[in-house]
Amino acid sequence: MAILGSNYLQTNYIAPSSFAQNGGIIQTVCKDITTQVAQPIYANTHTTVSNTAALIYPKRQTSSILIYVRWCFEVTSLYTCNFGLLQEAFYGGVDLRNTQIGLPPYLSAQLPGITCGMDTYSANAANDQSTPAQMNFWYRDTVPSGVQSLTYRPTVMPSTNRTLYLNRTILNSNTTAFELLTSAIYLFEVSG
Amino acid sequence: MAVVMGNYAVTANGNIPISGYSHTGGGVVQTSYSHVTTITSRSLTINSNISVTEIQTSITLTSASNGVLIYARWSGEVDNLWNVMWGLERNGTYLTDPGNTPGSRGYGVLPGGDCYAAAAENNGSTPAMVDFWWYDEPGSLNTLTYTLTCRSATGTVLYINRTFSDTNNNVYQRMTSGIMLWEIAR
Repeated sequence: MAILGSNYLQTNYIAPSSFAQNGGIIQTVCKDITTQVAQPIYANTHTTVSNTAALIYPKRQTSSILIYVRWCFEVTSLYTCNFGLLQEAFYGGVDLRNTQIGLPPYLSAQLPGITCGMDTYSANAANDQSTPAQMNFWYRDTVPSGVQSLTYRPTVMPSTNRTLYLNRTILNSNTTAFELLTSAIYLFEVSG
Repeated sequence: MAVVMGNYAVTANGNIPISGYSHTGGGVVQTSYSHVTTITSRSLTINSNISVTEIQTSITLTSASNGVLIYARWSGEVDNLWNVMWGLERNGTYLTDPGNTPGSRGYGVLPGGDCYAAAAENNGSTPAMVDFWWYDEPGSLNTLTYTLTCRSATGTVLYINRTFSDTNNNVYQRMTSGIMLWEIAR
C-alpha cells in the first residue's frame, strides 16, 4: 500500500461493488499501431495480423470489455474480405481458449465477420497499389468466468489467399500518392 | 479489506470513489451496447427518415443534466449508397438535423462507405458500412431509446448485415451492426 496523494491510496483492493455499476469504466488499455506490416492472409480463414493485439487483466468477473478496433491498410479485392475479432481467454497454466466472437449467423460457405471494410477509391477498376482502405468497429464482450487475462486479436477473412498490407499501401512508393497510416485497438473494462 | 481515505478507495489502476462522489467534467457514468446479428431487410421510402429499429438501444440517465454519446454502426448493402444518408432519432423524434434548411436535399449525419472500387455499383455481393458518433443532451430522466435512421433519395431496400443476393458462396459476406450509448456527466 502506498499513499499517492491526500485523497488517494494505492492498494490491491478491488473497488467495492457499489462503485461503477451499470456500465462505469474501470480501466482502459490503448494501443496505437504505427508499424507497417505485409502479411499473408488465407482463404476462408479468420487470420490474425502481427502486432495488432491488446491484452487486459479484468478487475472483476462481472465486467464486460468494450473493444474498439481500427485498421488502415490495403488488400486486393477488399470487397471479398470480412473483419472480426478473436478472443484469447487465459485461465492459468496451459489453459488458453480461442473464440471468434461477435459473428452473425451465416450460411456454410459465406464469409462471416463483424464488419466489412471501406475503400477510398471509386473509378474504373480497383486500384491495388496506392489506395488505402479502412475498417473499424466497436464491440462489447463479456468476461468469461474464471479468466485471468483476455487478449483481443482483430482478424481478416478473405475469399482467396492474398497479402494484407497494414498501415501502408501495396506499392508503398516514396511519392505523395502513397500513404503511410496508423491502426489502433483500445479496450475498456466496463463494470456490470 | 477496503482501504479508504476521504471519499476514495483506490485500485492499482486509479482512484475509485465509494461515497459522496459524483461524476463531473465528462466522466462516463454508464454505457449500453446492443450488438445486432439479425440478418434482415427493410423497405426505404423515398426522401423519408426511416427508423432502423433493428439498430436500437435504450438508456435511463442518472441525472437529467447529463449528456449521451451515441455510437451507431450499420453493415449491409443498399442501392445507390451515394444517395443514402444516416442519422439518429430519440424516442421517435429525429435528432440529427444538420441545422440548415435542406430544401429537397438529402440530409443526415453522413453517408456510408463502400468496399468496392469499380465503374458501377455492384448490387449483389458488395457490402458497405457506416459508423459515427453523435452527442445529445436530452434533459430527461425518462427511458431514452436511440434508433439509427436511414434516408434514401430513391425508394429501395436496405439490407442489414447481409448483401443483396446473400448467396451461400465465399464472396458473399454476413456482418453485424451495433449501437452504443455512453452517459456523460456534466
